[in-house]
Amino acid sequence: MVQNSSPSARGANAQQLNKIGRGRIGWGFIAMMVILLIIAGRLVLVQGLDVGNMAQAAENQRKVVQTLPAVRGKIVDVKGKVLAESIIRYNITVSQINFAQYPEFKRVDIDPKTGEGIIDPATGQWKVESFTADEGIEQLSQLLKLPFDDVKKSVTGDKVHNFVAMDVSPQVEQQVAALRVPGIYSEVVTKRVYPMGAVGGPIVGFLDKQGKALAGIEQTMDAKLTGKDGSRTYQAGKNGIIIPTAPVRTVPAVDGQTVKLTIDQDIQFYAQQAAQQQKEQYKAEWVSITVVEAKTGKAVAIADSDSYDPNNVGASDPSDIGSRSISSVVEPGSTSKIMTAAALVQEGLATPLSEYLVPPTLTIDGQNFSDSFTHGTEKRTLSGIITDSMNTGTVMAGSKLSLQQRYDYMRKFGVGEKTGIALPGESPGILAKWQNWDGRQQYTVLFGQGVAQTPLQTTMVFQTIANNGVRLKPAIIDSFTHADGTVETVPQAPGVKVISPETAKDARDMLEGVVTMTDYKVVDIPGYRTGGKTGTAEAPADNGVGFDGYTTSFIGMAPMDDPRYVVGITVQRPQGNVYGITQGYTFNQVMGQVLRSNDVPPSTTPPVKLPKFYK
Amino acid sequence: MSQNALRSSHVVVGNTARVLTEPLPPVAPSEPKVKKSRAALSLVVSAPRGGRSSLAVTLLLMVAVALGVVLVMSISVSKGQYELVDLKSQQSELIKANQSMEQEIAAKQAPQELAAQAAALGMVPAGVTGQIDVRTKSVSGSPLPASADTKGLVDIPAAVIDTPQAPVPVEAPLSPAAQVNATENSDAEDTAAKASAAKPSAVKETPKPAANVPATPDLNGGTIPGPAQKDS
Repeated sequence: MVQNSSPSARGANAQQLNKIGRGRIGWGFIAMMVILLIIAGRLVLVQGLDVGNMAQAAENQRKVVQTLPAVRGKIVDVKGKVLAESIIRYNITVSQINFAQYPEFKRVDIDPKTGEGIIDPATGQWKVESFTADEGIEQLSQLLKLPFDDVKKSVTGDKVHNFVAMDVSPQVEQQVAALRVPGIYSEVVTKRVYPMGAVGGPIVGFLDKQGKALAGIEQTMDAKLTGKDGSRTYQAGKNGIIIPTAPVRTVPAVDGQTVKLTIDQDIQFYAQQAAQQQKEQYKAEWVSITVVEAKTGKAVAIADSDSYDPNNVGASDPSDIGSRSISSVVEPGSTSKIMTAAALVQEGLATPLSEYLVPPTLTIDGQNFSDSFTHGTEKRTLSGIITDSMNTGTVMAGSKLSLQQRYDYMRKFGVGEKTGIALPGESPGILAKWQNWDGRQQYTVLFGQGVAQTPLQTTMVFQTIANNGVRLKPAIIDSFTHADGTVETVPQAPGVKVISPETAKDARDMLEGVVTMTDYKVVDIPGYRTGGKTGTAEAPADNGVGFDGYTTSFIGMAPMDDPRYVVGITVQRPQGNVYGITQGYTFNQVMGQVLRSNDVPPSTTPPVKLPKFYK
Repeated sequence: MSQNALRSSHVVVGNTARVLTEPLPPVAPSEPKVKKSRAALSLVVSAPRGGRSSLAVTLLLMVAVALGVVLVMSISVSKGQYELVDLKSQQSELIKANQSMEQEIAAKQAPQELAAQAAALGMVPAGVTGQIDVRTKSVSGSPLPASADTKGLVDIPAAVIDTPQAPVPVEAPLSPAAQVNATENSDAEDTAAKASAAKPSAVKETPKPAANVPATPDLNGGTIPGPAQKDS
């Protein structure tokens, strides 16, 4: 029974099952095909047609653009000494929370010679030392040269990020990292440093905290100094690691250009010292000393008293920010007389030996002029008038020039226009149109009153005379060095021909007469023939009403056989008797230093001594 | 050879076959011999079998070698990568160290620094100078030896660089009400704050913005910052 029924039943079941099974397989197949079709269709949609820009979105998500910062160019002096550069510095920071978690911490002893961990011979393990948090602070404070209490104060609390010290050098940062104090980190910052500090500070200028150039060469040459940031585009996974097979595109950064100045830091330093000395000696408001190469117009030094340190601008008086040599205008006084004399010679109205009968006081057009010393009626040569700086004689001689001639010559000598030096905040000076001159001004301009110039402008007047009558544009930039090393020299700007070489020679002779023929010989640089002119003018009050104090100056050149350098010294509002003040000694010091350090050969020709009087 | 010769003699294409002029020689007696010799032929299997297996071995070896080469290459490349990263970090360390040293030199070359050093060594500025003319062997001017009490010009302060600066404490701005509260609450705290505010001025430097942006790099959701190498 069992044996019989079972095979038959089994056979029926198998057949039925087979049928059902086949049907199921069929359905399953269809279902699978449908699913497959859907997936395949989706695949085509996503991969092939990219509906919804998925690939782009994914790439955008992976793409990381990193800026490769360009390094700002250096500023160097004429000998290549660094005046400004950008360096890497670190801020030491702390996570106070992390710091508080470790009342004790351990670190492996490091052999200072090899930089490797010291292995304890007893155990064969690294020597590990344990420190308390306070010991860690002590070590930190010693490295950072900060008081223990200050460091402790900055590391305790519940802040995630706090500063412990700013602007530490990479070496110190390395040492700090080697301390392995928990919770102490560092962050890198770029800092602009000025190794020479106040020497040349007002020329170099400075940047603000955001890196914006605010003064000096930093400002005027900002476009050249600023490099071009590069970038690196790569794809990174969610964990921030670069996907190696994805393309990496690097646009390298182009560093800024190095700006080489014409300034010589040693002369600049000396001139700044001299300026400061004069300021302190005479309790003056400010002192400016400019040194210019006569034949190229290159500024060797532009020194101001109380120059600021660009590393620490905040410590300086805001009124000292900037360079007074190019931004402050003062009445030049008697130094202008040489312009009048040169104009007279150039126009053929006089020679250095032309004769003038100079009265004790001169009244012309109802205007009365007198001199700084009392004298009777004197038989003076033009040179004698310049030597003793006589206002009466200058007006007498200069009145032969028409008003327009007086104006035109001053303009040609550069008065009333910016010199064009590449420094910010330059003043053009003040020179009214000759039609607007009042009755007195038309004569006072002949001896440097009723007109205002910057100390640099006055120096450039003498540069014109030193350079055979051609006024040059004062240069302060020698060259640019590109990131790839190519040097781009700044060409000499064409000069303005003001007077003929012969007139310039006569003017130089008269300037030398000031040195050789004066009664109180102060200007004397052993071995060199020098020439120059003193100036004293009343300083207009700052509030514009009347006069308040004086401006005294001396502008000179050397060696007179073939002038190489012009030095201009201007002292604003010295205290005491102005006629007892001379800038001659300072001129000797500065010009002497310039001549000696530039190996200028001593004069070989005898000095010119034009007679002051005629018979 | 004989077989080959036989086979080649049989290879005759129809129209080039020679016309038989004679009756064929009786072949019957030779037939059994032929059959025997055919039976003696057996399939030559050993040679192809041996060739195939050696090819497989060669291929496997080649694959193994190729894999080995790839392995060695990838190991050496990754090793090189580590070395590269190491060297790059070493380079950046050296650049930094070099930069610091250059800056130190620049600071030491600063004229103020030189003047101070010279003064520390007991040097004084030269007094009156003269010139020596080697051609005429004469000395012009009236040079005098400098005396120890010769004073130089005034000093110019050295640059303020690289003294680690304590951060300037920035007090959170309080509302006026809170300020009143604060002053009422603790005079002692106030004086302490004043003292601490006065301290940083001992180290001269322009105030640093303590509210600097916290320098957490953008990790794009990850925890490991991308390598911070410049270029390539």
